[in-house]
Amino acid sequence: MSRWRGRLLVLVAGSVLAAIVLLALFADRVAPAGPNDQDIAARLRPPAMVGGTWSRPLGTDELGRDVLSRLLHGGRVSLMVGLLAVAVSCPIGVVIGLASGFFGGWIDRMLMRFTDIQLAIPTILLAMALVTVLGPGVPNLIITLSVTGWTIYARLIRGETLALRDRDFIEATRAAGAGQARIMFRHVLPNVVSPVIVVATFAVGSMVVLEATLSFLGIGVPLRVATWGSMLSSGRTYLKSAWWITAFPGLAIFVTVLAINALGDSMRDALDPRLRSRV
Amino acid sequence: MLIFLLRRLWSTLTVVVGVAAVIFVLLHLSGDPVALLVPADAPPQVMQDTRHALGLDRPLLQQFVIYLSHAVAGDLGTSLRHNRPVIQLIGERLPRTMLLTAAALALAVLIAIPTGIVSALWRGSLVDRTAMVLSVAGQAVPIFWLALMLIWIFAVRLEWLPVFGSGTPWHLVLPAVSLSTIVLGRLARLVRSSMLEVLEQDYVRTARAKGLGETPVVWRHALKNAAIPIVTVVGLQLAQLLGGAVVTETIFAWPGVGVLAAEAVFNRDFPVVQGVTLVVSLIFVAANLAVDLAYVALNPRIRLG
Repeated sequence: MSRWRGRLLVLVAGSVLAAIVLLALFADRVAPAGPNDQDIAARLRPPAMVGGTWSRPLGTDELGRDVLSRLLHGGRVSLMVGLLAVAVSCPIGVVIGLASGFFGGWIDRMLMRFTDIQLAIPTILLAMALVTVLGPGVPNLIITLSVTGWTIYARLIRGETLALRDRDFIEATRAAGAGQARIMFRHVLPNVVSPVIVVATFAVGSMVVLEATLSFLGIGVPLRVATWGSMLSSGRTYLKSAWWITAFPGLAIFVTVLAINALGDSMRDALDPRLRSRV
Repeated sequence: MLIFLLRRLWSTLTVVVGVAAVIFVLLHLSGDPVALLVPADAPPQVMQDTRHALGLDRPLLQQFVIYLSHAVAGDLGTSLRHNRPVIQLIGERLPRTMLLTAAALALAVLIAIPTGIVSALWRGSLVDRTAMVLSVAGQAVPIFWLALMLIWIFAVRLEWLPVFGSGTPWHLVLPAVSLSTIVLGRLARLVRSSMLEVLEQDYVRTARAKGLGETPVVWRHALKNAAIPIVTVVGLQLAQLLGGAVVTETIFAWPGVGVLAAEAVFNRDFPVVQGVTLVVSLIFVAANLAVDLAYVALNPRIRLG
């Protein structure tokens, strides 16, 4: 890809994402109504562009709630869950990967076998089982997503650490008397951080989709909490008569994940082109 | 070769036991299934008797060992909800899930490989750019939303295909198309990048210099060498496909193990959740074992052991 086209892509993806984040962040001020404000008299009103009114630009749902307002408030929850899940799972995976690659031997075998076990369970099934244990709700959803998400970092960091641990500069640090923890976190970690940033960027998109999937299945957040997934879930019954309830939250997920992936692609090319075949 | 096989089988076995242990512990933390079986106002003695009858009053480790030894013999317990053997419930539904997963995978492979090859051969062309934009979009689209939109367009508006259920080949179209997008985009991009790498190799140049036509160069020389990363990703994506089947089956009321698992999670039907997870994971690790063995067939240079 030519350099200018790459820059344009970053600019477009970054702007789209920034707009989505800002709209979600300031949903209280931007949204025309509250996410759970009901107007039973105005149930299932179509969007303005197909015969509705501009006071409800994206129409209303089965309880007369404003779809645009729920979309903006829902974005806040969906993005927050996605970001926090990455913020929790990434350090867990990094520490496990570092320990596995750095110490080797039985620690490596044990940790990687555990990683293999988790990877053998399809993420959705594991998340479903975890939600059953923890119960529904936003904090439990973040824990669930974090538990399902750490393996990718552990695998990646282990490989990178294995390649680094016998390099001369690590040997030199060891010879200078640095302790294990210091070598791991001060010397190995900074050298493997680029691929982690790239993978974490992609992971935010995956987590947004996974949250939406679980909420769509009715086991993520409680239905009254507006997220893009719960909106899709409640709207599916009205697909025949009110397509807009499902179309817009799905479109929001699609555009958000597309922008995140485009940013991830650009970051990978800039930070660590070797990852092209792996991510 | 034999040592490699034995070592792979051993690691497969430990992973399967590990999966069983993880799910076993998780589900036993999730609450008391007896509460779902007896009326809420049942006296404590009835609760205790039911718990004893189901073996739920034994130590956890003992319950797990009993579960594993029964599982080896093909007994995955009895569904608390359906009151039927779990293996029977899974056996009835698994062929449907396998059919859906296989159709989705076949569709993805049949579209992704030619697309990736054409994109690599005509790099930078309009075809390449369009295919790659669609692949990137395909990776970002949530399948449950795509499934709903496909239902809305093809079943509700155009009335070309049935909304849900199973029975005819037409019922398979929408679920398989939705599910295939999980792997389609990534696979097409991977085929393209692998082919680009291989097409620049000396042996491809030599084949062309010898006067070979483009078709044998691509299919016999390039694709075979580009196949290793492709086969690896197909194997690894199988877990995604099987997981995606849970969602797809729920939307299309496709009577597979995914729907069974989703229902069981709602009903806290421990034995069914355990059984489905174990069987699905077993399929996944077996497929990856097959992928490892396929490496040898694809590339005899890979030394095993």
